[in-house]
Amino acid sequence: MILFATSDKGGTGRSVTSCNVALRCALQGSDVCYLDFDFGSPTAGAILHVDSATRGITGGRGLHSYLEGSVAAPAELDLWRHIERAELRPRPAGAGRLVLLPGDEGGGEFPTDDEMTDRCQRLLRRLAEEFELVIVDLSAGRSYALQLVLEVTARPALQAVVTRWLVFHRWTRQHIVAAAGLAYGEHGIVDTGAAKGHHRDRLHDSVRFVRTAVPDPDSSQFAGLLPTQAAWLQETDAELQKLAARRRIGRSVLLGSVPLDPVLQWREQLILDSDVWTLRIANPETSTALDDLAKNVLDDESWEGL
Amino acid sequence: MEVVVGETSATDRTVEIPLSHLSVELGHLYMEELVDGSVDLPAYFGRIATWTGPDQLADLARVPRSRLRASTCVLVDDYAAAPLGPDVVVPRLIAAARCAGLTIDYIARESGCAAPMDGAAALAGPRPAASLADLVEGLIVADPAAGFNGNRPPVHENGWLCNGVRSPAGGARQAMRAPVAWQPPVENRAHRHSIFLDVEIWREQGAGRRWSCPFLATVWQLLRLGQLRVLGRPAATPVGIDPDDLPATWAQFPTIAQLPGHAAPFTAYRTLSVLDGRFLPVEHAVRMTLGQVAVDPIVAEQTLRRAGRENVPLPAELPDRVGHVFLGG
Amino acid sequence: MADERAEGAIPPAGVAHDGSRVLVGEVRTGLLAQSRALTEPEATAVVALRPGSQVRVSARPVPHCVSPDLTLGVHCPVPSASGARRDGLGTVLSRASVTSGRLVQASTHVRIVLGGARPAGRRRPWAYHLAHPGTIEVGGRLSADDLADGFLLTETGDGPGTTLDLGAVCGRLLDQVQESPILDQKPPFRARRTRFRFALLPCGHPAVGESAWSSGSAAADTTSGRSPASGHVCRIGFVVADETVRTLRIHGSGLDLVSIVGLCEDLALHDWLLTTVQHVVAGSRVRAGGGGRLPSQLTPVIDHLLHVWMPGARIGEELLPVWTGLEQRLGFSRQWESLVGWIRDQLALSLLASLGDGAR
Repeated sequence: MILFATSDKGGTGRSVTSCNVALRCALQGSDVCYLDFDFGSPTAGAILHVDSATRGITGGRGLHSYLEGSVAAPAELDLWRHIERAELRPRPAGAGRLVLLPGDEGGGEFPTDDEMTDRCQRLLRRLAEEFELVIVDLSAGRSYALQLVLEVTARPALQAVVTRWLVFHRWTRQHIVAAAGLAYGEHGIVDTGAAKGHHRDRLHDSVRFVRTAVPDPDSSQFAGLLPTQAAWLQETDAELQKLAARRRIGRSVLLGSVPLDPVLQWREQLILDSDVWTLRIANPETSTALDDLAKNVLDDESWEGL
Repeated sequence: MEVVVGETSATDRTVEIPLSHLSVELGHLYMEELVDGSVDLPAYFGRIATWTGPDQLADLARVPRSRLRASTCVLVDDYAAAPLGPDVVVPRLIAAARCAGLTIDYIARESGCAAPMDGAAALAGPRPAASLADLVEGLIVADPAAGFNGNRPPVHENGWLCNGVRSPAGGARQAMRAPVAWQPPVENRAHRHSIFLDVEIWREQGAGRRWSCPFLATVWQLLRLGQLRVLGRPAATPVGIDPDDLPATWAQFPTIAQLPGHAAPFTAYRTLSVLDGRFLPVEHAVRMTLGQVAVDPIVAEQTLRRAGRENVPLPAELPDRVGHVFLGG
Repeated sequence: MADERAEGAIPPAGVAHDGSRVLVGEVRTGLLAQSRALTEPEATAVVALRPGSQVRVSARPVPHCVSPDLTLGVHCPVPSASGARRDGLGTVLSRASVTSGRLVQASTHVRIVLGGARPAGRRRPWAYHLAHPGTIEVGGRLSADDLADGFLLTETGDGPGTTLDLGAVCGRLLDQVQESPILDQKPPFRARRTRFRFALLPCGHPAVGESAWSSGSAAADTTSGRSPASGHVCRIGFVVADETVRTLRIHGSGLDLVSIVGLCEDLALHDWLLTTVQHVVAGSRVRAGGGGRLPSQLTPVIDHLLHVWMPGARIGEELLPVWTGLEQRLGFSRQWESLVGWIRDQLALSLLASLGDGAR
């Protein structure tokens, strides 16, 4: 399966959540690879604690170089060897492969051409052959990267490969409207995809949403709220639920919901069990939410047609 | 104990075909010239005859005259348009050649090189070639420019083949970048200076491909050199025709027709084409293209080995097996 | 054009000039992107990569279809461990194959002729190189070991850089086969591709310029590969470079190059089988012991891979010692047997467990 992670706006925690999903899926035994297609800002290495690739890699072997045609294959970093977190080294027993394809340091956005599209198609098809889960982290919004992968996945060579879309959005009015627009709106994923030859309904059915930084009124975090504050929180949440349903991004297409957690927000890094239980800096709810999201990503049932 | 195991399907079956020493092409005319009668055919063949005497041919074939096996042929230009059918053109050519003392052994039609293959060659196979032209296009191995190390797919400008590096395309690709300054094209094998040649192989036209005249002429040379096979069998073989019973359209005419008589084999170690000087650019393109065609190594080896057995000197490189005489106006 | 013939003698097909020759190549192996095993006609169609050319098919001991050789022209420096930049010009040959309707391989090889008589300068006509397919001629001095080390030891292939990149050629071909519209893109499980790089050098490090093959056998070592000369292997070195990269260095004389490529393809295939089954078994060992249930990852391995193990089946007499040698030192088959044994045990346990369930 190729999973495209996207968001309309920046700051949704798309990359950090996707990286955490990748890690969890690999720990559960799947072979996973993670492609940093956030060409304007290739920082997946930083999220994944790979010191040699915090802002992309040097040496001209990253995804930028590959797509531009200067190398025949992009660098693949085996994360079990590169993650600088003692808990994850050596490779945990039973874990699948976890590989990062970083961008180039100093790489930027670029317009696409036919040859680049060919190369992108080749790469994605090959990775889908070698890995159970291929996560492609796209830039926010209607980017070249989004256009490129919509083009590529419409091609015959990739049509047979299972491709799915995750739209990340924060749990706010503006983010809900923006996410629905990116998925279903004018020049959105479904619109653009259909114009490029995708089967409209099938593409529509392959989009799911992830809510991030969601305040949970029942959590201990908000235990000290005044009754008026608590009531307001409940009310706002209910309104947002209604709005999401109206915009067709309600519960039926919800794949996961990640609570507001300062560790995710500020550190933007992997959340490990030690962060929750030993260091006690991350909330157990966050870890559970990420586990659930990872489980749903791999569970075909959560992707069944609506 | 030695155990020898063989599976017939695992070994290549590549058929050897009969070969003359020389295949002589007796001129080439555009269809319009046959239609409007602007060419004095007997005089035309007369001029060709002076260059195709037995001594000259034996010399070109590098064999003694007593041993020479040579066949003659003409390619009819019917691909673009064919207002006249074989029933008109063929007798006219035979008669005019006879006036000049020449015998035409084989008449082929250019459209046959681009048409769906007939006979044994049409044998399906897992990946049939749509036409002789498709077959030959699949054999092109482009002459690499300096620096080509295999890490990218070979450059294919759609439908064009050249002998070097093209001039970079003008205009800036990305915004905010300075336009590229003009640079000359370079011939890969330049001898101090370049003679750069870029040849159109085909172009998309309507539903399908329109093959270029130089490319079909390359296919024609390869047919005469006996180097084309489909699944190991000859890609085209001459079919006998009766000059008194000719069809009215070229589609009904064989790709290569054999006229009655005791002709030497159509295919040959070497070819000679005696042509008007105006065909020089076409034949330059043919030589360049031939130089980038990699035929089945088994066929290439069969031919060389056989030439060795017959004591016929034969260059391994295809362009060197092709000879031309260009006539002035 | 007359100057081109100035060399006079026309070399017989397959014979290059004097000078050391090194065969280098790479094989990439993967699982075919298809949910079930391909039938022979399907497999034939998948590797029918050029119109009108034959696909070689053999049915024993396992079904095996090989594409026609594809030729690619290159003009670039050849690998060198010392960093010497020696330009080579010629063609590399590639072919793709499907084994047992399940496994797919692409292999690219070239015979590099060092210290050719021709001085650097004007190129030969391209047609000359096409008449000697699968050969690159290198101008200037370069030792066979320097070349082989450069090819086997340094991180070559797929990278930036300007030297000959056989890996990229090979990888593209494998991609091309896997993209065939005949395939449903739904492999029964995911498996990593492996890369197998090999070099064949003359016996006993002959000095530069010394002929590696006697002229008699040189005439036979053409790409068509008939009349294999009686040759022998002096030494082999097999290295597992990392999880997916293996290298093999063979020193030998009088060997038929086409058979060497076949040997390497066979080794690469079996190495891939070992690597892949090992990965699956390692993953399921951790999860085994769940009430005698067969770990789910094992099913596709049992269905699709266990019967493909046929070491040395397509290898000529003179190369069998290579297999035997590797078997003795590395115990390919012993390791395979042990993996297969473990899988069979799991299968037996799961059968017993299900019988027990039925009895209750």
